[in-house]
Amino acid sequence: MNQNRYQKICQFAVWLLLMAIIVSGCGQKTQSLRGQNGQKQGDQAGVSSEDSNEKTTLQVVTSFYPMYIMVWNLVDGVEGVELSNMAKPSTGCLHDYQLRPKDVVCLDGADLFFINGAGMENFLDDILEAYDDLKVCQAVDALDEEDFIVESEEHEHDHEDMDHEESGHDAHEDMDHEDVDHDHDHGDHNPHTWLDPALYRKELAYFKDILQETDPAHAEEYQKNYQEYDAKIQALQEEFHWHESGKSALILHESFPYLLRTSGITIAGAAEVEKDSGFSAHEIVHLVEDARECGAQYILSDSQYSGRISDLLSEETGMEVWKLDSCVSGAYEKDAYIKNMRRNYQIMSGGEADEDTSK
Amino acid sequence: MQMFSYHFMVHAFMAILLITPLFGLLGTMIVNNKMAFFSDALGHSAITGIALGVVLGISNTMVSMVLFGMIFALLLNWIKYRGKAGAETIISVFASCGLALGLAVLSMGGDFAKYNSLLIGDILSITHKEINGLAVAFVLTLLFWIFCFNPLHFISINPSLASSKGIRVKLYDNIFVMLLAVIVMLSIRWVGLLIINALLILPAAAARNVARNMRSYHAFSIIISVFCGVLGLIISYYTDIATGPMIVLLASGIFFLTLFKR
Repeated sequence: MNQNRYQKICQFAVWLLLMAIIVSGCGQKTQSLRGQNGQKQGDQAGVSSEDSNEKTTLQVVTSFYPMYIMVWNLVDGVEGVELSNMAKPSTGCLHDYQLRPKDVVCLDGADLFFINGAGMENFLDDILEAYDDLKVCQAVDALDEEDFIVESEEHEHDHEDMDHEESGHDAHEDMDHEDVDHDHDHGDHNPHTWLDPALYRKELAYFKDILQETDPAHAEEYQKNYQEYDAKIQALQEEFHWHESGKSALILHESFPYLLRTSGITIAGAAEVEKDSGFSAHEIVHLVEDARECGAQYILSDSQYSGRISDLLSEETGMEVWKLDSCVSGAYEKDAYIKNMRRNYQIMSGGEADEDTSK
Repeated sequence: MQMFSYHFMVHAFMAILLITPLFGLLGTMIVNNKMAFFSDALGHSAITGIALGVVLGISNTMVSMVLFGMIFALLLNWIKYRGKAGAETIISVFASCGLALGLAVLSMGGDFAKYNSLLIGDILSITHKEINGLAVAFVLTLLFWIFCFNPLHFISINPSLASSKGIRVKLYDNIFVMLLAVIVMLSIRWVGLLIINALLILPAAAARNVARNMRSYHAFSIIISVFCGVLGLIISYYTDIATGPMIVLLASGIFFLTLFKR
């Protein structure tokens, strides 16, 4: 009996040890993440603990990575601004996002909440109803109707039929104005607008205006930050000169139409497939056949996914795979957007990307 | 055959021809030793292995998966040898605990969707290099079977008699579960966590219903396993049913048929 008990204790100890290793591992990770984050928040905000006792700080929350990078560049160095990001930077696109309690907590006491809108943050709809005072600013509100690329309805979750867009890069022609609801409902609109630098700049200006309005005392600093960052993006736009190349691409993620818009590369077909598994061989055969039919030279795959399907398609069809970054994940770096976009442009203009693609 | 004009079909076919006989072979011993629950727990621990890899920053999660799987298998074996009636319960507790831990870690960033393919399996996107890995596992298992089948079989019939004849029961058993862990971990990405155990158990269980001796038991198990694998892939080529579940459905069908035959 005694021995039995001893054994039981031993076993329990082994299990506890395993747990301890795992938990300490987790702890380290979050800590380093928080450390990195906190440091940068400190940099940009210059908030001291005394300040936060009375409500003198402007608490700004962003919904996910691209919004965070954008707003960070605006509020960097401005006194009394506390910036935090809701979804972890490794999350990627928010389509499959599951809200954590922590995310809701971070909205508590927030003054401004910058989100992308156009359906990107659908999981927030119910939550936001509970926060009447919170000012929610949607990036897509900065855009005009003709800025958007409209998604065709059958596009979503339909792996079999790719929509063959005749001239995808020229989305203005594809617009169907009758289908558009003008009451701030961007439901049919492709929400990945940040991947078009021209739209990104519009959104940046819009966010700057909101910040100036809410925090007039620092209006000049926002303006200065805005001008600096805007100039960088403008320089990026001017760096690459696109011309009609006659190239066409098959896109595997719905964010790429915006990226391709100005590049002179047409979209031969689209399939939203990368995040899914559990295909039947039949479905993959359809994919391969459609890819061959559309006659594109390139497959555009989003680097946030494993790329297994794009590699498979490439092997079957001989098309070249471009692994592009939709700028939704990465390290918290102020110039992350510019860096990733430049790399995308380098790949698309045929040159090799000069920077390391690993994250 | 038109379907072999696609590389991915050729690859999937080769992978199935490597995985299914292995499963058929290992399944016979699992069913003999009443280890169905054991192998199920092992499959669940794959997700813990991946989570550990992610936490510890191991870029190739396959390494952490295989290592954790082997440790987990030995741990389970240790519990089993303590000979208590509650071993099944403890194994179940370990398995659920491991699974929950894996899910908790992997979903920490709200992005569990990335690991979906682990649950259902992804055999259609297997590459040449990964098939080579399976081939190595195939050869290793065959060698192990050739050299260790007799003692293992002896142990499965009567462990104490085997022990008295000088067979190192625990050693063989531990080697067997470690091999099992390696095979399960290597193939789980292709077969899927939710159905891997079905593929291990069903062919052997069906074969047991119809086999008359040890040789035919093994032969039937392997034949059923390979047959279901190949037919499942072919059906998946002509329909919209995912490959993994189709294979399991076929194996279940065969099991029920053999049940009537019995």
